[in-house]
Amino acid sequence: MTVYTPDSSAWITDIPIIIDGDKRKASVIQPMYQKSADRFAYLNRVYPKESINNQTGNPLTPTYNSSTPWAIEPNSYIDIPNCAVGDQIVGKVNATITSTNGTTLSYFIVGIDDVSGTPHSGRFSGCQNMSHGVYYSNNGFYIKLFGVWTVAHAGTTRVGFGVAESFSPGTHLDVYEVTVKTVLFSKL
Amino acid sequence: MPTNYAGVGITFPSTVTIIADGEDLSERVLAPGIRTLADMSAYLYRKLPLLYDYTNDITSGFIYTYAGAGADETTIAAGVKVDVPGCVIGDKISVFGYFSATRVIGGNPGIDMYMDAIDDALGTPGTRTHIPGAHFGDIGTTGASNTDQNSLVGTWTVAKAGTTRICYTFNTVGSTSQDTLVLDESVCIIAIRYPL
Repeated sequence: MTVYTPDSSAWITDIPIIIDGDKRKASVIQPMYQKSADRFAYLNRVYPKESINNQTGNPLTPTYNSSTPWAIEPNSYIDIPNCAVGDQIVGKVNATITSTNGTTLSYFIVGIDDVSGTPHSGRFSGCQNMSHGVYYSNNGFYIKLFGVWTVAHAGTTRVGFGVAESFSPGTHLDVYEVTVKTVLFSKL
Repeated sequence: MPTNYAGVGITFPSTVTIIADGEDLSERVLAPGIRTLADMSAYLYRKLPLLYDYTNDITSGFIYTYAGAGADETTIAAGVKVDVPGCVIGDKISVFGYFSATRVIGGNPGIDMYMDAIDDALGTPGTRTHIPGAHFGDIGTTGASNTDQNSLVGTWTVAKAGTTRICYTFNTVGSTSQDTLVLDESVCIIAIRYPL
């Protein structure tokens, strides 16, 4: 038996058709089936893939205290394996937070390429929420972010909810609910 | 007799003939099955949802300021748009928008922000139309520099073939003063085309 592993790296533009008189040998018939398998493998690879992570708690991060940029809140992320350079990820984050002290905060969707290898981190484009939210009460604040990430380093890309303190490290921040949703659009 | 077959990509056969044991493996028997598989994959390829996006991050200043008065409804910032090519009638375009806006001049009522669509924008443009669901009202009614963070979602159904343009507009209906709206920090338009 011949085992065939589909080549999902490229879209096959045509499939040969055998004609009357062809020798009915594997060398004639097999390529047709291989190319058909390649097409389906390609479609399976490039079809958009959706992931979601819903977290609720009381609170999820009781003692957030950091001024490190690009940090992702605990449990507030999705790992997307097998990303290739040029793939695009649409990210959406909803979060409910409170802060009982501190000052202005900034909120982001954070991306980390090749997180399990050599990590490269940054912010999603189009959704940064800078210099907003001076909140000293427990009334809660609802964060909503949309953005886009283009994979620059192959591997597993981590997408999550990030908070940075612009002016006052030491803010106590509670994250009560967070939803991270991603859709991976593989490079055609 | 063709020697290769690229798939027409129009019809999606509901059945595929399976060759039975002992059946003659002639071209007459095999070719229809191969063509059906090609048609199916071409069809699925054509139906792939595709992503188009515009993003702009800016940490200071602004990317657009509009000054007007009265019942203005204007496409803002010519470069803040997404063009979705190859649309056909009936295609669905799912849109997502995110922006920070500050109304630095103006009083009540507030400014309404919409995401709009223009079918066949590069040919004979259709009428710019609000995308159902993608509306955010009363930005900065105080006229002070209070920045609103806004997200919009909606779905557009293509009514005219060609390139469909997705953009922002705002409406100062009811205002009698000059209005200045500043988009700052971040602006984003995401359009996902779902072919018919």
